[in-house]
Amino acid sequence: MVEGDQVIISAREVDFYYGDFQALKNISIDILKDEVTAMIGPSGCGKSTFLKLLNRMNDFVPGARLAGEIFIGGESIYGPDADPVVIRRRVGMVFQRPNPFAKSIYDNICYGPRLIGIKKTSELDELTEKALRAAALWDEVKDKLNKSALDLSGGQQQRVCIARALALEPDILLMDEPTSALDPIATAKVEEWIKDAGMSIVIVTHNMQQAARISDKTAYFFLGELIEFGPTKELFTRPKETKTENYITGRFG
Amino acid sequence: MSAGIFVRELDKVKNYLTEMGEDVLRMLKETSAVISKMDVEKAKEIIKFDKTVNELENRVVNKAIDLIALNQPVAGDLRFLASSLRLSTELERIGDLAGNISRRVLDIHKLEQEGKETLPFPDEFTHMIGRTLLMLEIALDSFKENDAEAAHKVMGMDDEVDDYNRSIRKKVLDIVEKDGKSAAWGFEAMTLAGHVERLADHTTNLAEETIYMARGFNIRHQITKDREEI
Repeated sequence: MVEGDQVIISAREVDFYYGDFQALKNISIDILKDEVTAMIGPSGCGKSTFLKLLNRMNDFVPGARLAGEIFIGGESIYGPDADPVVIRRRVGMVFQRPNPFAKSIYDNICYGPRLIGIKKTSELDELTEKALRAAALWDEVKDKLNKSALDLSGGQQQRVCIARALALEPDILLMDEPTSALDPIATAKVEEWIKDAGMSIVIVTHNMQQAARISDKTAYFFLGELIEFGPTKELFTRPKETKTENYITGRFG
Repeated sequence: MSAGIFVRELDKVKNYLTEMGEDVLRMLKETSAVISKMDVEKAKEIIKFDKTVNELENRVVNKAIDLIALNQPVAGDLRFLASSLRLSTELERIGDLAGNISRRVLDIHKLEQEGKETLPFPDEFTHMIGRTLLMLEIALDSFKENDAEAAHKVMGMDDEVDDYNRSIRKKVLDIVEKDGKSAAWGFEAMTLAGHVERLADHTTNLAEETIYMARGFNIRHQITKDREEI
């Protein structure tokens, strides 16, 4: 039984529609604090849709409609009092392709903090170092903070994006296929960061071996349903559901 | 490797293991006949045949390691390949022991030729080997069918084989104590019974491996009560 205070994200009977199309069907899941949770499943299974619901990234999709409830830290994020801006500060996101701003490394990291009113240079310096250290990038870039982030390698750019998200000290980091545009060495760096981060991370990945390597728990989605959710070690050695077994062993389709 | 090709490669490993199983079962059946008839020529054939089983073991291990390295298997596929490495070792040991039993028969035959005293084997020998043969048949069938329930049946049978072994040792010891001239025969007979007892242990390991393969739970070295719950 999961203790209430360990649960950081809780979805209850979530249905989600893009117009007439039901993308998620009756999803209930408890995601634990400080764990890495991987979402896997074939294209169109609903895993990215679910991820985007966790920081209200689907709000502006025309015809999108949600039923059910999602709680983060015990508070309903789709309730009448919920503020999407505050939610997105608490729930950071890193995307598929590294998307640093065409600015210096320093300005990339300080972009969010400046928006929320932090102006003092010493404070910005401090949080830049902290965020870059947390993203395991500080030693590589500390002498070129004023260089353009676009001049960095792909792996470094993605870690700038991670640092940029971490600068706002989010409770949760969402990652949507964060290494699919990276080479194996850059991928290894980002995976290493994820494993060592010690924070609540929800990651969508097409790479099953990656899910197996880096996550504590894995959720398998298929046709908008959550088929199986459990400890990664168990899901990859003795899955409970035949549908999961067929997908992870490549028998699917 | 596409899923279809990978499945075919897995089938090859299963076929090698099935072939090994059929070979060692035949070896044990023939060994049983060798003991009852003291068939020296057959004993020599069995010893020779062991090489074929060893070669199959290498095939299983090489193929399984290649498939693990190149395909990063998971779930049932991973369990099958991990099990195949252990199953092939157990089957190879069973083949070795069938060979060792035949060697003891040859040793006893040599004693006879040297004019030393040899005696008929106590009846328990036939029962013990019959029981072990049945265990091996069930274990191999349960592997072929991926049937954990059938594999469970093998566990309890091993205790019966152990009982036969104890009984044989006691009887042979009694004979040797009364008649010191049969000491060399007694030593060979007890060693032979020990080989059959070990053979049954390896057969139990085959069954345990099948349970892991089918259900994903490792029951090796667990007490009987916990095993039954899996």
